Amino acid sequence: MHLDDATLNEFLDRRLTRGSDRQARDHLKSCAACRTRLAALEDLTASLQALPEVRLTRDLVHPVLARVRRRSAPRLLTWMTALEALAGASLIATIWPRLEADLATVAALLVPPTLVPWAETLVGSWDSNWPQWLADIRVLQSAADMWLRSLTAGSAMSWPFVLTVGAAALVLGALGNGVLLRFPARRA
Amino acid sequence: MESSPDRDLVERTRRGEVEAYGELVRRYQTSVFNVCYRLVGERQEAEDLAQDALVRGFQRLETFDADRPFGPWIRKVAANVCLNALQRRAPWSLPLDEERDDPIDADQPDPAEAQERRDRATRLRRALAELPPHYRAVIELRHFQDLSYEEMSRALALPLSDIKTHLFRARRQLARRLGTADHASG
Repeated sequence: MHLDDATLNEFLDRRLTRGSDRQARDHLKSCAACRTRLAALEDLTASLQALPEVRLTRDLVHPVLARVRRRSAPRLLTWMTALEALAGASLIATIWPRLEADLATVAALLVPPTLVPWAETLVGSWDSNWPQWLADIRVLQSAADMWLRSLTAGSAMSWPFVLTVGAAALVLGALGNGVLLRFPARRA
Repeated sequence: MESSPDRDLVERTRRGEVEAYGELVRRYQTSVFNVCYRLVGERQEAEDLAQDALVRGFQRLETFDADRPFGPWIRKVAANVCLNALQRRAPWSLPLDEERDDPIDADQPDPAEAQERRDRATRLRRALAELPPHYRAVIELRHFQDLSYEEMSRALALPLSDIKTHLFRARRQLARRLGTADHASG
């Protein structure tokens, strides 16, 4: 009866209890086949330990530090997020009259009857506050408008065109950030 | 000029001195890359994963016990990064890059002996790369990172019995691929 693979491997890794270890040693003294198997495992271990390290073909210091710095610089992301939020708010302000009617239709279908009074209060509060919010957003819009007019003064581009392109870039940026930052590329 | 101990570099990095981490990367990038190369078997991917592991090391530096050596810790981080990558990809290995498989200690005085060592190392790397990923993982953790069975069980989230089975089967397959199967298994 020879030592099984599991026992031989645990003997090699010094994992056997004292009693099992003694039994394995006693067996190895009298069994040439198991001694040969153990020697092969020891050779394999020695070969693995002697495996030389391989050179890197490029220095990783600069790329790693660049990534580390990029990740520890939240200010840019905060500014981008604020700009994206502003673009989103402007978009909603522009389409609100249509959106309000559609939301009312959808809400009538989705909100359970018991929640209707509560929902009405909530929507009423939105309605009463909305003119003020809209006015605040329009102040921001007019500031952006003035800035864009000053940028495009004397050029062939119209400011609505610039505004549209800018808003599209911000929306694409927001989508890109959301997709690329949250779902890193899977490796093949 | 005397170089700073790893512990000082870790403390300086924690205080926000990113350049200090650059010195740690300089010291450990080769060994981290070698962990990745043994696990994924393909140079370009191993270099990318080594980069990921070193960035992950920076992000997790707060969890590192500065009283312990930095090298084994960052190599373990690298092993985890590679194991996650291996779990996501197809179950077979990519071919090993032989043409640039240039060992660091190849400065043997005897060219024939150096060639023989290089061939032996390439055979062993190829055999490793041909193992299934979970077998490659136990060989890496046991033989190169010197983890105990219990540590391997925690690192791979596998029961101890699976670790033992994977390890002896991985060794048997490795021996078979190296042409010593009759000796290594019963």
